[in-house]
Amino acid sequence: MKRIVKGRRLLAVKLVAAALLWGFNLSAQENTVDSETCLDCHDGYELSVAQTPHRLTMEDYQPAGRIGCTSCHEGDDVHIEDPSLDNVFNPATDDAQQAVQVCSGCHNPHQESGDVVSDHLMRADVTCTSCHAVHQAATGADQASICGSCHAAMMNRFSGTSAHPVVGEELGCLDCHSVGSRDIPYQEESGSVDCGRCHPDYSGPHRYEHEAAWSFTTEGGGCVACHDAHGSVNNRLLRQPADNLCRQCHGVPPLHRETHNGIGSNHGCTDCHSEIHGSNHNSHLLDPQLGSKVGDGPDGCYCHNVYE
Amino acid sequence: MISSKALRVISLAILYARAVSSLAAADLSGVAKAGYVLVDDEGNRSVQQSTYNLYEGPALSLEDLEFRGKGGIRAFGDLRNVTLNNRNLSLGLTKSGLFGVTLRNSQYRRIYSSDGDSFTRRHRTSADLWVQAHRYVRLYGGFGLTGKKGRLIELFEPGVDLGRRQVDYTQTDLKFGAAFTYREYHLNIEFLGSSFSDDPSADNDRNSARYEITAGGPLPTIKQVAFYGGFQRYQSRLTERADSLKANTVWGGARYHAPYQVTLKTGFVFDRARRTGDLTATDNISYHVHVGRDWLGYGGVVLGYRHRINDDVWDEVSGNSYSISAWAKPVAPVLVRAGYGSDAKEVNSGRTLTGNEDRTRFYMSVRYNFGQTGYVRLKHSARNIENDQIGSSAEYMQAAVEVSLRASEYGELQASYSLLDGEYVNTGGIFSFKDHVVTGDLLSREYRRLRAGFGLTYMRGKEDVDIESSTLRFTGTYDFMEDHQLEVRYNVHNFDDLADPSPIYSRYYTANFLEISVARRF
Repeated sequence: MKRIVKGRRLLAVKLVAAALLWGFNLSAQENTVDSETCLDCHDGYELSVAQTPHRLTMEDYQPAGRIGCTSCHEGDDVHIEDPSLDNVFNPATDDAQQAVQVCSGCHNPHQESGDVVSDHLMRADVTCTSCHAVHQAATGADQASICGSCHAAMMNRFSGTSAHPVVGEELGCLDCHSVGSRDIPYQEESGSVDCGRCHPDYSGPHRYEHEAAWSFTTEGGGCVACHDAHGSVNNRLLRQPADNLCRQCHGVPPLHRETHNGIGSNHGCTDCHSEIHGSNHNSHLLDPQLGSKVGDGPDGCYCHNVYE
Repeated sequence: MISSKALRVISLAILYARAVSSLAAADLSGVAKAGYVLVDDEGNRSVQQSTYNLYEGPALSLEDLEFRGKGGIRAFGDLRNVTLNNRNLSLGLTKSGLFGVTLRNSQYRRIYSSDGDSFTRRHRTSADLWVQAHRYVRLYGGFGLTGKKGRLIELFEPGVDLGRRQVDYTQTDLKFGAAFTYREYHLNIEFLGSSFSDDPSADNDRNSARYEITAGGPLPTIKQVAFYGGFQRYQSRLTERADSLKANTVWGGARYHAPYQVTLKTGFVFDRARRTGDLTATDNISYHVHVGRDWLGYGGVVLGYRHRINDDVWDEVSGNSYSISAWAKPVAPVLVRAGYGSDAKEVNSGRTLTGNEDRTRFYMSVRYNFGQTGYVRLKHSARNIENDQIGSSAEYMQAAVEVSLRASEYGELQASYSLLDGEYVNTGGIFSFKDHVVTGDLLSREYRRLRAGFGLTYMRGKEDVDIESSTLRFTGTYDFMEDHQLEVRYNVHNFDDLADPSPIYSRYYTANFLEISVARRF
């Protein structure tokens, strides 16, 4: 019985693979000139793609077998007669939008997700070859160094007092960011959902939510309303030091200020409101042990009601 | 007198700074501070809470200590006022992703009588530890010892001895648990136990224990749908009496981030508490639904509904709450927030002390950002409570304006004014109050190594109360010898109950606190 199931699985895999290859071959551009003709002048370029999926091969049954120099570099008919940089298309240096069309003739996942038609291409004139080196084997360069070549200011934040360990290569930019997204710029899902992949205990949902964390978007709230996910000069990736951050929304509650005031009254907001991400104990997000710490016994607390 | 003290302080400070200079040789950063606190007060010492925990004497501190070693090792500490009774100490050591331990000790005095003879002092010592036992498993625990001794006045009547009683209790807390996180999923198991021992009256001795398990995470196939839930068992037992309280609470729910920035959240809570002393049981059941919609960069709105039932042997009470909150950015520097909520409590059977109750609340704020320079905000909020059965109502309104400004060529300013206006009405009459609260902090930029600051908190309570309370805060710092700093802090506190006609039990209080210190950064 197991063998039959295994056999069926294999058959299914083969069918899917065949379908994919068939689809690929349909979308791949036909070579109008044999690559050997190009290599007569551009000697050694076959080596630059030898270790990549774009390698030049005579094996027709492989996808790469359908790819030649002119799959990407159009204009060969004129170029052969009059070799010049101006009459052949180079995706790395010429029109970005045209370059994307060339690459997406085969590589359509980015296009389907909206990546190449949103932020990067439309706003910054970035094209596929800005990040992907076609004539070069994978160098092992991490995402941070690729993205950081343009986003230098963001990279600087990783050297803050507190920072996500991207520089240490434990995380990559794409763990949080999509290269582009039509619905939510810069992020894969949203602030709270993205962060929840590694910090599920903070992102909730909780029985009692912090309203800032509840909201879906970064404009209305979410984790990044308080934390700078890249890094900060403050502890815990906070956008502002300690109580200053709370005051951005809550101001200074007058009665809190009057009570905790002057020399010797150095109470921070989160000293008491310690369950600031959300609480399963009380709606004021107070420390469930606050009664023990400042009150009269385990069940009582004179000023700070830790219950609903 | 003061000048000789000041001389001693400066000498002590320099010696202290030299003594810690060896720390600078290590890879440590922090501030070593030595100073003296002078106190000069007069009047009723029980009326100004912010002065309860201040003492006169030499003060030594090691603040913001930090050592960052290789491999994510970080040691930190903050030892404030080591030589005074309001000391606040914390020390910690962590290794990123492996373990962390923190030790804390603090003391707090609360004064109950005019002359300060009746007071209680609470001290707490605690230790917390976590260990990352596995990539997905973190174990943690903590121990706390809290003690409180002294004499308090239960009736807040200064000078009256009848309400005085001795306080002498000790409480120990123990907490341990395990947190499992795997990708978007988390599971937490925790135990928290405490033992309370009251020396004057053993009848109050009790032990309590809380067991809790919480979990949450999204659906494997639809990450936008996340579930959460938990169970808690709580029991508290009076050890010298045949009485105990046991409560079991279950909660759970889900959140769905739907397309078009729509968020749905729903949840329930079921709680059953039993008391063995009078064999009563109470059920608390509630569920809620929230729906939110955001328009990226422009605004958002959240609608909420909650229904709850409280049922015990005497009565059954139900309640319905509705809420709406919204934010909007009509233009880039302006942020508007507003919300409205109502709650209606109804006694379905039996009788309660206050009967049916209706509550409403409203708030609105408008904030204008000046970019990096600061912001100004206007706030308004109002609350209303009505209990028809006992003919009472309470209304409360707050209006406020806040300003926060920062300019590198001048300094920083934070200021606010709040008006709190309310009245409480019942069959016996009307009690009304109107409080004006002004707060402000001004910190100058550095000028020839000098920096000055001024702060103010002023409260004026009028109508049926007539209270004036203020605190003035002056600070000045002068940097010298590269990494040294002379700091002077001067606070003036005043409190006066202008409606109090009695000269014997006068609630007037005035105090001057002067703190002079020398600090060295290393």
